[in-house]
Amino acid sequence: MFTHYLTVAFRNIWRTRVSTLVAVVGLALGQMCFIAALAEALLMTHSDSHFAKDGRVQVVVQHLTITNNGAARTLTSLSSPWPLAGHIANEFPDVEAVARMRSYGEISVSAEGNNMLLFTVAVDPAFLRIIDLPFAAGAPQHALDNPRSVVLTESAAQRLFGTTAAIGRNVILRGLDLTVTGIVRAIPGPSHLARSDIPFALMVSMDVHEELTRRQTGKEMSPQDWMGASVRTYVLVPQSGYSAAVFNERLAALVARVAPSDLKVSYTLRPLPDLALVITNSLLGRVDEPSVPNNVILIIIGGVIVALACVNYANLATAQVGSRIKEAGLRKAVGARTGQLLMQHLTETSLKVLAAFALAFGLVILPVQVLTSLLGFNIATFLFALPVFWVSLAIALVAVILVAGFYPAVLMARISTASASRSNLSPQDKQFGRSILVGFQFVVVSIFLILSLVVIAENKVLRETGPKASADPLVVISNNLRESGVAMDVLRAELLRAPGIRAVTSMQSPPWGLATQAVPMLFKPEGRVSFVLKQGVGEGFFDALDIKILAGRIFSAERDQGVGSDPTLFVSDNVVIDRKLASELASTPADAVGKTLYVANIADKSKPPQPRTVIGVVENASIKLISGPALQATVYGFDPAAARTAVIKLESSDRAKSIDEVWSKLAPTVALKRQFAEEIFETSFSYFNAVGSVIMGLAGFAFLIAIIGMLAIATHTMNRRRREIGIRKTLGSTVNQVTRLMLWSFSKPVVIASIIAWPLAFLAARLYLSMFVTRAALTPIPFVVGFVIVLGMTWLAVGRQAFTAARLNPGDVLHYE
Amino acid sequence: MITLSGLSKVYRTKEMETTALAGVNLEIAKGEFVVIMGPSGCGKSSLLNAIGLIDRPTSGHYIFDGEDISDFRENRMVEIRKQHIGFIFQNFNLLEDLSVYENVELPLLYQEVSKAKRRDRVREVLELVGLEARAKHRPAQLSGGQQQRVAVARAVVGDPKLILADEPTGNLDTQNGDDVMGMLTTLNDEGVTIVMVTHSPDYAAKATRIVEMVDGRILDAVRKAA
Repeated sequence: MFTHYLTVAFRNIWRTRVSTLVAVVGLALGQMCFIAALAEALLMTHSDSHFAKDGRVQVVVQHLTITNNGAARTLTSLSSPWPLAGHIANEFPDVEAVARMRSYGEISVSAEGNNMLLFTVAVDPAFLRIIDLPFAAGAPQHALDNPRSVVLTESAAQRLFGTTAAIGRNVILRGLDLTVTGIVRAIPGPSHLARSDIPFALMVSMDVHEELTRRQTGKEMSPQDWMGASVRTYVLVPQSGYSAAVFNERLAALVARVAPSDLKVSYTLRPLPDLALVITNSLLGRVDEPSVPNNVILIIIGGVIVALACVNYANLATAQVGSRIKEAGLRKAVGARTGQLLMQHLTETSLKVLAAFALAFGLVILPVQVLTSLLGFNIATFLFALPVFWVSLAIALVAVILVAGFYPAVLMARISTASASRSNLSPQDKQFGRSILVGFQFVVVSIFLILSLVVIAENKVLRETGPKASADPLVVISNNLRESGVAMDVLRAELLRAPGIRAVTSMQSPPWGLATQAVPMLFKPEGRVSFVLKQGVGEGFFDALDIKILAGRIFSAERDQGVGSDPTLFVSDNVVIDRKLASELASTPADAVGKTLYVANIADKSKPPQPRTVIGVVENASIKLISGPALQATVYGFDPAAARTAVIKLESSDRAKSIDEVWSKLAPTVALKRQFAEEIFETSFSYFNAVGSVIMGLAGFAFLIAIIGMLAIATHTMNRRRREIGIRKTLGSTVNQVTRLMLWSFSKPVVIASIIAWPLAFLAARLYLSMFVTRAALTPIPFVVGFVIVLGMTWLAVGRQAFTAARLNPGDVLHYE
Repeated sequence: MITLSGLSKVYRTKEMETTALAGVNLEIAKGEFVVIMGPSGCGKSSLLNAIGLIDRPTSGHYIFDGEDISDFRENRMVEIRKQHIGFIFQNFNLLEDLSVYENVELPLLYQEVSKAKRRDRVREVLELVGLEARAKHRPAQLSGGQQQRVAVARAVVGDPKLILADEPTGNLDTQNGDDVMGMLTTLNDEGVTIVMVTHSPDYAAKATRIVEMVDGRILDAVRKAA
């Protein structure tokens, strides 16, 4: 019987090859999205799985619960305090190894006269016994056992020494002489140690970090310093008998016993492969432990697109059922059971779904081969080795077959036996079902389209609020000044003496970068906590950034230096706020001057809020892009010590040479890391541009699938309605009237779908915009434009068929009918 | 073999109700050749569909081979249909995607007959209707008469007790019509019960009994064919 199903399916596919091609292309587009989403989700959840040692490698995750605007939130990060690893090592004898990692980011390193910026981390020696790095040379597990040792990646060795044979040679890092004891190859799979998170080039022994800290602070790293430097802590748990729940309970008890009582955070262990999820959350500003993880969101988005393609297929197949009624009736007349007809139709669907899958698989997997050299590993090889990849695909295939094929198969199977002796008639419930299917497609299309338009509008706003092309160019020095041995006041004085430099200031983090700091504030001592954007600034900040003063005064070194009763909470007793924040305090900026704000202590609610006095109000300035959950308002504090990012205003771009000359005089052994503010903006903007491209791409895919479906449905429907058109024309209807009638019949589900989509799109757009400091106004324009585009494209897709059908000669139609 | 008592069939739409069969009482004995005649819309095809179990009556009783099958479930009716009943339609109703061989093979496929037995039986009936040379052809490559012969072959391939023919000669010329009638008569001679709808008095004359219908009812006077 199955051979018969296959034979009939192949013949039917061949007979209806054009509509089959349309259906297969639609399904392939949907499956492409799903396969890509699945691949990305698996890269997220299986990152570092080659280091995982069957789940034994765990990382300490920190949880901090805060209340923002009355709502409790738990912020998750990979930071853990310096002393924690020591306590775990001492008190948990069953743990096989514990190691800390301290990341420096890109810092200046030199070797044999080569001076360059390389990503550097310091780790405890045990790190190499926890993570099995692919060593090309050196002792794999003991390369960092000796003090002042360093492990290089092959590419770093090549850059520093011109060869990978670098064992025993010396590297100078901030004046410390280190010996190369190991060379590692590129990591053969997705890993947090390879790209976005910790793309290390140098891995130094932890004594180097301790020595550098001693030199900078004049103090030893203290085993009691729970509030100071944070590290990442890796734990190798025992081979047997490990229970996450039990271990986390023990960890909580340990922290409660040894940590200071005012430490209001908790720690748990997470398996190494989960790291990518936590990191992606952090990159996307989802610092809460999200109830729906990013990998699941990806799968849901891929699933929605593939569901759209399934609905499209079901729609096409349902339309075709009309032309197969006789066949189904006849089969039943000669003895076919309902289940057999169901199986026959599902076999046909299966063949089409498999063809679409093969096409989609090729279109996703072949291009990613190109990325192999860029990533250092082959994505396809990685994915193919994961059983979960194949199981997920198999489940998805079965789901697609059922979702796409079940409804038309049921319709086909339910056709009455008596239909064998009748002409082609539609099942009673077919029209309604098809309207629902068309409607669903266009709801999804409308949401994506409106969201795309909102993203375009927001990107335009971001561009407008970015560094102005007409203004004096700004240069940002990203080197950590303290670690580079350069004092900010010396740098500022030297730069202001150099030619072509208009102003020099400093701030906490680079303008237009993605890093954002927020501070919990109360507008009244007993009020609700609201997170407000925080910016610690140095002298001359508002002048250098061209931020207009609206009322009161701005900071001055003479009046504000040294003020600040509790530096761990905020910078100074005096603050300058922007117009938005002022509007929360008073009706005019002038009235806000002299008012008091309160900084809440979220880690210890027993401490009273700290008052801060508003000394001035400035214009709103969009020098940050992301606000996250914080209000779109900013509070500025005078904090030259924390404001370590130097910002220099030049007369013209070619004056940047002056900065290089001053830097080489002040820090001759440290490579200068400077960027124009436009470059920082472009880097940050590229993230949102990418998000926009993904949403627009999804909208495009969804649109294409829906329009393909609409086109095919139109062709089918017009054929079915030829007789009706003939009769209408015979009775006096004009071509225009018939065309309008046909267009309206296709527009109806689109109009209803748009109305359903609007509130959903509104919620999605509002959620997206809530990320930004400066938000595009959510006006009706994207909704109206989206509707016009959807309706216009629908008319374009079906207009020709409607017009052609309307021009039929009634005599011919009625004669043949 | 067949007893219909008070059989009625009403088609309902939102707007109207149409009575196709209005309390039909009819008995058909094994081996009979019954012809149903009447004007268009009198319910001939509805009666044939009801007898063939391809349409469920609205009310009344249907006894087939001594068993009341009026309330049988769909699957049981499918079993009876595929084991005991063959159909021939006016417009042939061959599946265009299947070859002549495959069209004839279809009922055996649904009866789950083994491949070897199917092959032998299909060849046998194709020989019977004189189309063994056309086994690989598609219906579209055949004339109307040949197509109806394929339909006859398909109807008899499962060795049914009852053949229902709905105007089997309606779309054929005289020669082909005569050929098809000849085949039906031969089948009847071999003991197969035949119920046929036709408008042709000449072909009706070949039946053992003529049932006349008007407005969904069987006229009281049921004539015996001459």
